[in-house]
Amino acid sequence: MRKAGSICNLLIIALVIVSLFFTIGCRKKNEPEKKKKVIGFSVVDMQPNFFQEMEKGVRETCRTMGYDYKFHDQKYDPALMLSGCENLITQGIDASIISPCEPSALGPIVKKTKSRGIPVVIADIGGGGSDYDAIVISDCFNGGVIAAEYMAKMLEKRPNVSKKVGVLKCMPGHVYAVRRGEGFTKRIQELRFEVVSTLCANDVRDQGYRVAQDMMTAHPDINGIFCENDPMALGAVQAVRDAGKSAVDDILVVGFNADAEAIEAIKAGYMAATIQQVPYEMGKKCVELTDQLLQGKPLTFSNPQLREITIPVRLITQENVSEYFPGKY
Amino acid sequence: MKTNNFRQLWDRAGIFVALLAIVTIFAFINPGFRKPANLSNILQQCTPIGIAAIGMTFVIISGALDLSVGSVMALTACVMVGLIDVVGFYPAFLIAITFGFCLGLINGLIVTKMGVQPFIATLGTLWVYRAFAYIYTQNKPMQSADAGFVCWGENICYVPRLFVVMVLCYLAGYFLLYHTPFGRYVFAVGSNRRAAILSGINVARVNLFVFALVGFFSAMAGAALAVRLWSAKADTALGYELMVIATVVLGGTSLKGGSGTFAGTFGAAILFTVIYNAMDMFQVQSYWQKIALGGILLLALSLDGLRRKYTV
Repeated sequence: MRKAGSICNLLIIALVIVSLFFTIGCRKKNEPEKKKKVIGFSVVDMQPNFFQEMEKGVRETCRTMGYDYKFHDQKYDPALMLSGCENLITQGIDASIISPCEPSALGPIVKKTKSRGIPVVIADIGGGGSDYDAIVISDCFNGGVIAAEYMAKMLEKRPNVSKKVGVLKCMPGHVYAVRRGEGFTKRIQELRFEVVSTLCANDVRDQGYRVAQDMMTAHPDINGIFCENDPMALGAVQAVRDAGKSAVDDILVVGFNADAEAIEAIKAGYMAATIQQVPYEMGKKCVELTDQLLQGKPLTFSNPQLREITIPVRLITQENVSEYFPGKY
Repeated sequence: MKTNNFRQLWDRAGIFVALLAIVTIFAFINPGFRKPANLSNILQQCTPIGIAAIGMTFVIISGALDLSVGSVMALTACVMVGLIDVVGFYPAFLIAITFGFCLGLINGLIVTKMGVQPFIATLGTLWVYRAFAYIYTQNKPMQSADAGFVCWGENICYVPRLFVVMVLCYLAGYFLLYHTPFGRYVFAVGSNRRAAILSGINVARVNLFVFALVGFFSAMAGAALAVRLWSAKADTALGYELMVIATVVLGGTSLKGGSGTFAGTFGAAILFTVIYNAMDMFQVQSYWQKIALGGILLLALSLDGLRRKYTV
């Protein structure tokens, strides 16, 4: 009995040692011999598809433009974001691209980085009022406008439509997500629709479901719901379907982000549309801007006051979904 | 007799031997790691977890557990940063640590007066305190650029100020645990609760004060985190309680209570940070980083377990 226990213990230890070796063996190899300039990229989290695509954009563009690449994952922890960015600096990067999990904590990082003469480009999320060189974001306001125009066009095809729509909002701290709703609300009102309800569903699916359900109970004649992100939209779709209606033909649900699940739902005909941000292009643009900064070239901003550079978004509907997302996403 | 001495020495200094070995190896292999700036980064990066681990060492030695550490850190940090622009940094800091002490006291009262198991009591307050942080901030980030606040994140000739604070906290904790009657009661309650009661120790009062200490040091840790980030948010320090417990356990404190050292906790806090830092330096893939951390914890504890099994 005792022997079996000790063998078991030894096995565990062996397993642990092997996994440690694996970990060290898995590091990416960098050859600093050629004295290439190094770009460091710190990302929010490598679990969501969105940031994987962004990382791919940064990595591949670094390679094609002849930069070395160093990477760090913040795992949604502001303290890890700070230490990871500090660690990138000590690894000798020449320029820094940061996609911050917590924009308000960017202050000390940007100060530290820039005090060493290293330019900082922010990728998406927000700049937190820090002294960054440029920030690359999706054109969120315009995304909302596109969604409004699509919804109006689709609803006006129907006879006797009530022209009443609702909006599910993200948490108030998300500056850029808020712009999506602003763009939508402004445009849909210009098109003489009425926004009867604007509620916050805290970014997540189950709350999207609950809030959409409440919205339909309060306004039974509602015809469309715009959601500031896709998880909430998927929740809303479920609520609409549970009420025995269709999220395409009865209550039009439009999301934002083009998450994999939303794409599948659009393909299957459960959900009307979503607005796709193009994270790969965002990552690519960040490296191009960094390149310009390193060569001392001036940048042209979409919004000079906040040093913003916007990347266009596109509407994904059943008509074009298989064109942009052939096969499984 | 001689082996006994060696064993005692290993119990106390083993973690530092491991730390020294790891630092030497990494410094030898990686040019980025051995830069003085990086070493001072490590000393600063370890402070939030390191300070929170002081309180946790007390509570684990006393045979209990506190799961609300991360939530107390977030709530007190939010309160502090929110008040800085109103009353100035030092008053805000004092209010925050007093508040943390009170939050810990509430944990202690729930445990001692209502007879709730510490694990459950602090699991409950983990949610409650976190929720208060969300309510207080409306989930908006709290920011401050107050000079007296921000300057604590700076270095005095490569030694981060925060690290100095952490060392002072450890010295205070060390004094309290080894040179006061209270410290002896903590050990007594942890090693044999029944015997402690029979020998006339007011166990409830010891427990109460231990939880209050956890709250106090968690608030200190929250302040350290806020200083590093120049800001605080309701969802900062999410899941830190487990990191803190892991640090204390890696430092050789037994979850059964009754034994543990501050030196071990101190070494473990730095060791974890060194590993994290080195994995960044070696560009270890992020998915693998947690495996390494879990692996180290398992390796250390299974070695310890084996040793106990064959020597006792």
